[in-house]
Amino acid sequence: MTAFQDEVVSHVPTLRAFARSLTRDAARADDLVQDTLVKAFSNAEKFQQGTNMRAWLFTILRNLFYSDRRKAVRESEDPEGTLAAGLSVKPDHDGRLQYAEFQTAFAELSDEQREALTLIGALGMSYDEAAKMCGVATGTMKSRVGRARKELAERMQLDDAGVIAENEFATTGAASWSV
Amino acid sequence: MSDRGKSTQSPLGENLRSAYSDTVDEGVPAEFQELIDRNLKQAFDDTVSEGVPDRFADLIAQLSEKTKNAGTQ
Repeated sequence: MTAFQDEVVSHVPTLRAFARSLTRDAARADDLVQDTLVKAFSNAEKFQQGTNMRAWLFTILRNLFYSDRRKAVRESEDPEGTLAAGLSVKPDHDGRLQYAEFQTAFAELSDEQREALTLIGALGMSYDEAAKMCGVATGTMKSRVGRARKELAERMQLDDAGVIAENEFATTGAASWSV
Repeated sequence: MSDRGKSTQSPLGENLRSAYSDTVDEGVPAEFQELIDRNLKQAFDDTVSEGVPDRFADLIAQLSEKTKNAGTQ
């Protein structure tokens, strides 16, 4: 095995997780990872040893995802999201969100929001790194994450879930809550 | 987290960063952010730790073979 090959192998689990957060579908995610690997190997000479391979592979993956989406765009795009109006999720007694419901709410976010939250929230990437990868300004990435968290909180009705008092919540910016 | 803020930035990126720095996550208290991120990490890590189907090992072996045969450029 070459060093390149070794390193690609080590990133496959993370690629699968990233693909799943974008596609919301395990089978589609693995197909996307497969396409990413094919492309990575055919462009292997463009990868510079010592640079961030995870970022390089993520970039290939997301480019494939978004170019597929552009092809399929018109039929399904719903910018407001098909939000299930009645979704109401309470945290358990220890404040933990109910996992399945969290997944549902997450799946209802836009592609860009899921991507931003995955890069920043799940992977702990810096805003700069995530912004560069997505080809947007750092500020755009920040507000994307902010809006995504806000929508998640809203969809899961965290405000009346008793995690913190409602009046305390109001003082932290709930005035701009409903956009 | 550890690499947050240490990556290289263009002057443009830096300007935008400061221009937006106080609009981040407006309206979502830290407790919720933490709750959300914890769940995000869990979902992500669940997939990561699932283990990788054999098809990927096979594919990578196949791709490496092909690359080798094509010769180094």
